[in-house]
Amino acid sequence: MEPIELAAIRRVREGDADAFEALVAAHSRSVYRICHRIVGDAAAAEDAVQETFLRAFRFLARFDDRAEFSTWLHRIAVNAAIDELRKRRRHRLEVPPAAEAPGLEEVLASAEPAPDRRALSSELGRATATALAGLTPVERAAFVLRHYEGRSIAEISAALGKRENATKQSIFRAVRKLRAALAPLLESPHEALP
Amino acid sequence: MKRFRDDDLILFRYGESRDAEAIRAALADDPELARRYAELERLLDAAERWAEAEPMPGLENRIWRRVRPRLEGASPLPARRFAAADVPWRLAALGAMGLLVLAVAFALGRWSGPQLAPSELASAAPAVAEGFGSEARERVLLASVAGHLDASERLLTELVNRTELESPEAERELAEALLASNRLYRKAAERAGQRRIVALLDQLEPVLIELANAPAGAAVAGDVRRLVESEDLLFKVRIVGGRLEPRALGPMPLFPTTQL
Repeated sequence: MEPIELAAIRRVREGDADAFEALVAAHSRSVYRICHRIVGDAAAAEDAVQETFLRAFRFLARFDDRAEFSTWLHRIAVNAAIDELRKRRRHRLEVPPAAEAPGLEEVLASAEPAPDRRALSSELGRATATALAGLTPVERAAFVLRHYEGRSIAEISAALGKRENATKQSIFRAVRKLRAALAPLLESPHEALP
Repeated sequence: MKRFRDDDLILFRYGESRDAEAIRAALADDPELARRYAELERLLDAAERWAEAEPMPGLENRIWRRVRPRLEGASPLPARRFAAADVPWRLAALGAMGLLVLAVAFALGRWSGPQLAPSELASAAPAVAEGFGSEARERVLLASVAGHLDASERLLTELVNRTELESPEAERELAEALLASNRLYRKAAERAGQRRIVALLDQLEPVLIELANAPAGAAVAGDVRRLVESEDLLFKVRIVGGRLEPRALGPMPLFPTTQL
C-alpha cells in the first residue's frame, strides 16, 4: 500500500474525516468501473460508489493495514453494487440504460445481415448489456468479476461470501444466459468479427 | 476418454480448470469438443464488445461532495466493537443449539457418533426411540424449539434494531446453524402434529436462508428486515417461544425408560 494512502487511513482513524478525501480521489474511478459493470447504469453506479465509500469510512478501523486497501474497498464495492441493483429492481426503478441497451428483441430484430462489422459489434455490445441486465445480481457480479475484472473464483467467492462451488454455478448460469441471448447474433454471416 | 461438459470448458477458458492438461489434450483429439470450445470462445469474446463505461467528468469531486456531509454523523466504528458486544451471545447461542440438537438426537434415538447431520436426524424420526414416552418426546421437542426460537429471536432483534453492519461472518454462521436446526425441528414438529410450530418455522426459514447466504461485507439486509417486519415475525417468534417454554418444563426422565 502507498505510504500516502496509509497515512490518510491513519488520519481518518484519528478523527480527521477530511483525510478521507484522498482515498475517495484515488479510488473513485476503479470503484465506479466495478459498480457500473454490476449495476449497468451510470446513476446507479454513482450511488453504489457513494455507498461504498460510506461503508469503507464506517469500517475503516477494521481494515488490516497489511492488506491492499483497493482489494478491501473493491470487495465492499461489489456488495454495495449488488445491494443497489437489488434495491432498484425491487422498486422497479431499474431502467436499462437506453443509450447502451435497447430491448433484446429490438437488437435481435435488427440482426438481419448487419450493414457492417462495426454495427454488429455495437449490437453485440448492446445485446450483452441487455443480457447482463437479465441476470440475478449475484450471477451478474460473479460473471463481471471473472470475465471483465479477471478476478479468480476464490477472490470472487470471498467478495460475495459464497462457497467456490456456488460462485462457479453462478458463472455457469450467467454464461448459459448470455449464450441464449447472443447466439442469434453470433450465427449471423458476420460472426467472424475482427 | 473423459467427457467434458460446457462448464468444464468455461473453467478452462478462465484458467480455473483442474483438468487443464486433459482438456488441452482432448481439444487436440476431439473435433466436436474443439467446436464447442470455439463456440464458447466466440461467445465470451463477443461479450467483450460491451464497452467499459467512462464516468462523467468530475467523478471524484462529485462523490466527495456527496460523501463528505454524511461523514459528520458517521464516525468510524471502533475495531473491536463487535467482538466485545456480540460474540458472547452468539457463541452461547451456537453452543446452546448444539446441545438442543443433541437433545433431539437423543430423544430420537439417533445418537450414533460425532457427526450429527440434521437431515439424517430428521429422516430418522419415524424410528423414535422406544425409551421415551410420547410426553417426554414432546417435551424434548418443545424445549428444543423454544431454545431455537430464543436464539432466532435474538438474531431477528438485532437485525430489526440495527442500522449498520456489525458482524456479518458471525451472523451468517449463526444463521446457517439456525437454518439447519430449523429444518430439523420443522420435520419433527410436523410429525408431532404441531401445526402452528410448523407454520412459524416455515415463515422463519426464508429469512434464515437470506441471512445465511448474505454476501460478506454487505450492509444490513434491508429486504430481509422488511420481510421480518411485514410478517410480524419477531413478534410471533417471541410469543410462540414464550408459550412453549412452560409446556416444555415439567418432570422429564433423565434417561429413557428402556435401553436404547
